[in-house]
Amino acid sequence: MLLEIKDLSVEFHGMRGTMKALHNVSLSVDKGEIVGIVGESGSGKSVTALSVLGLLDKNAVVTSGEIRYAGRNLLALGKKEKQAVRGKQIGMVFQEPMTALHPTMRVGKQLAQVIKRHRGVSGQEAERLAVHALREVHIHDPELVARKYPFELSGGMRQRVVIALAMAAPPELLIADESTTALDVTIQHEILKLMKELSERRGTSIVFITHDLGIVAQLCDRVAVMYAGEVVETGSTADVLRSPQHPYTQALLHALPDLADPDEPLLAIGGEVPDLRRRPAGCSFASRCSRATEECRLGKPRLEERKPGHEVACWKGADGSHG
Amino acid sequence: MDDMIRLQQVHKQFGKGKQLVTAVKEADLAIRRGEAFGLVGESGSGKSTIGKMLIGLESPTAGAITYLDRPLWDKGQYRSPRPGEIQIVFQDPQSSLDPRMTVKDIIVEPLHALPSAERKEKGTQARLVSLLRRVGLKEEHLSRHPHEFSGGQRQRIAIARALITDPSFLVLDEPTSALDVSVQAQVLNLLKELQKERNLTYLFISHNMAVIRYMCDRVAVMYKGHIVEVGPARPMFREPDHPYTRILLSSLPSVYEPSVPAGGFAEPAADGGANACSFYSRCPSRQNACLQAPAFAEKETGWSSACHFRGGRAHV
Amino acid sequence: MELQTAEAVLPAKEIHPFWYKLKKNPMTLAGLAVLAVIVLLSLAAPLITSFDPNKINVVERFQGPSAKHWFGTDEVGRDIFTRILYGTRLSLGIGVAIVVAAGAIGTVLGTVSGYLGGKIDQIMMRIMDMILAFPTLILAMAFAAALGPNLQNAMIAIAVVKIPVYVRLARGETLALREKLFVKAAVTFGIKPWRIIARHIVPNVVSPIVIQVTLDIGDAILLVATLGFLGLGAQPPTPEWGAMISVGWKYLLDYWWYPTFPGLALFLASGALNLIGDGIRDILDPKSGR
Repeated sequence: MLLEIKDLSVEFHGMRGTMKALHNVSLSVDKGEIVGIVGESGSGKSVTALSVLGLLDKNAVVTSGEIRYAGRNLLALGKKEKQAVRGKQIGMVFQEPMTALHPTMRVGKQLAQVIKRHRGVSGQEAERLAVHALREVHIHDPELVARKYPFELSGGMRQRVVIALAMAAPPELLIADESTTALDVTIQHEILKLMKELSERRGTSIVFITHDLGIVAQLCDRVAVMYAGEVVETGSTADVLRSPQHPYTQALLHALPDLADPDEPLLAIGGEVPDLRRRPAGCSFASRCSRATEECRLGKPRLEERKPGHEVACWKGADGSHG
Repeated sequence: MDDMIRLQQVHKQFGKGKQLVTAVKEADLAIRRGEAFGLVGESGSGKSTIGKMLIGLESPTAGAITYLDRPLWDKGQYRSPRPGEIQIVFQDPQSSLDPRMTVKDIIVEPLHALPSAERKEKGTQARLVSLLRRVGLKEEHLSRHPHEFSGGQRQRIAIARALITDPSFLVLDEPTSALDVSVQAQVLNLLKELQKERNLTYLFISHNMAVIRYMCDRVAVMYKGHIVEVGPARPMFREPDHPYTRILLSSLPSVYEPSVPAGGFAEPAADGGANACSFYSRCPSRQNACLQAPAFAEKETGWSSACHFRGGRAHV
Repeated sequence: MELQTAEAVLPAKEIHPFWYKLKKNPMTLAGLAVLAVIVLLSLAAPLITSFDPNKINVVERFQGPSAKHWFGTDEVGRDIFTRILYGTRLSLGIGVAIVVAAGAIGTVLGTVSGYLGGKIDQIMMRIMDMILAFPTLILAMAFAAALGPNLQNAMIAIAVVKIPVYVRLARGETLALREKLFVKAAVTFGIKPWRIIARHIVPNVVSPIVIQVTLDIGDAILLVATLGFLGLGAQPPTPEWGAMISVGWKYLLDYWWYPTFPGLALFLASGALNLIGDGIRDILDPKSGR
């Protein structure tokens, strides 16, 4: 395993009380694998990514669990060691590319700097490699783009540059947090193709965080579905999306308008996500679940394997009986 | 046909001189009474600009926009057919509701543009409460402020506000794009029910083809200010005519597609010149014929597209 | 189909963020405490001291601080502690009145000018630039001298000088608000501009204005005191801090307590107000903490 998150719990201390953002989250990513973390707002998918990157806000506290990267617990490492791991071996691509780019430095120079630092090549060589890196992310005219400033580029172009930057080290793991959400669908499509290709060619593992089940279906080998700070279902993408076992996953798929009959109402999920400051004792989804019974409200289900590699946190079996 | 809104050769330009940007070019459209008309396209396609021209936030540079055969714009002045007749629901319920107002004040606000007799008649507490219940909120919510609500609830408030004046025509500008999937489904259902109950006509603007397909009777596809295809929603989504519509459809990541599909834009080609088709430089099936822009032509009854070729394929 | 009713997200009872942030800001709390003590003392003045602030008692003139006269007496034997207490009401009241007036007028001018734009806006901003071009004190002095030396005129002068700050602040906020979706929504409803200004713009401009007002109270008191010191403000024997310092100044070398204690009171009050203003700015700034 390249990355292994075990029973990670994170709390935020804020003015409105303590928010339990993550509760016993476990997740693993193998070498060369693309793993999707999918969930709606407040599901904890981004907090999970930020925990791995060590970018949690100051008011966040990790209350339990560990994050093992290549066998070492990142949470136990010193500041310098942590930075060494994160800077060199883990790359990141966020939703807004401008946050990752230096606004007043030419794109090529930014890339060359990173390449120089990580590969120890000469300045000239680094600049040549920078142009090459831009070509790798399918930028049409890399020499020209290398001379431009970030603000001169379109959103899709910028995101390509950020990917090139993230891949420059080159990392073993790429964490992408809603990296395509701000982009147009046709450009998103190109970026997804690019990520898949880079992963296949270089063996880079990718954790792709998204709210879009369609992206998961097309890009990811495995997926973890998160709800209210917990992983409720995880398995191969085909298993989870074709035969979803958790009522939340099922409901989420039904709520999509993609294949719905326009003459029928969509099967919406009633209610809203529970307040994370007052986490229910039982299953977090119980209040919105059509199959919930008394036991669901009393005890919290743990992830259990339904078939090899496919784990579900639900008291009910697939048919609604006891699991 | 009973057309409610008609756009004839509508142009919209922003800025001047070197900064001149044409947002909408030669747009011809008709929206029929009682239908849900979808407007789909990517950022910069001009779809939101058309919505803004209909509710009076932007004036057309040239061309005519009529509502029931009466012009909406006269010498750069917006002439509302009747206050509250055309209303809008914006994408972001976070910023479209004044954070300092109570839900009650927000919902009744449009009434202040009405004559006082009508304002009294439409602003009764009973009417307000029943409208609030209809959109899925409770009476006790009236005294709360927007920040106390979730995104979906805020959008319900915005919908109630748009309905308080009993409009006939609603512009829905990406009304569910900021919402989670499960909440989006609730809001889409609500909008559909309301349309039936109140006999509303919708202009539904979205970049999400799945949402448009589910919500709309007819659809127009826009690319860089041009309307490239107009037709009935369901057949068009099965068998799109224009190559751009096809790319748009195949780019939408589908849960039922196990890998990222191939296809998409062509590598940008040299500009085809001033006369070329607007999609020439990115079109995967461009031909020499495309250096001469195609007319926006009817291919089947009520189904038009701006492409020389049937089904966008050159070999036909 | 029955529509699912969504639950309200936030529970009814919780600490208001304002108090939460206040608790985390000790300097502001200190400022509030000092101000509270000053205000309470001045309100309770008749209970604390048995002297009359204006009663002349030449026999006890220029007495140093003692058990009887805590802060000593002045050149005609009035108890300085008593005069400071009674002066608090006047000085604080004057300060508040000036900035509230300036803030209110500035808000109206700034929002209207910013929302309507065009010629009105340009003319308004030029006038404000003119006022701002002069140093505050000099301009206040000129106004006060032109209007005639008394307290009321000094207040008017200072208020006029303070207005441009509020106009600019309100106008800047208005320009940002005008682009907000809820204002555009109101435009599409056909709401009249004056109503949009009153219902949307002004309520959303108020909090930065209140911060500025709090910060300016101390400054206004100082300006009144300065004008008083220069003989352009409150005239003796009014127990106004500036006027007291102004007269007491002459006796500093022989009777140090006379100007020192009113000066200390002025220092404490304006310092406390500045701390409070800074604190409120931090608290109302959405970017600070969570």
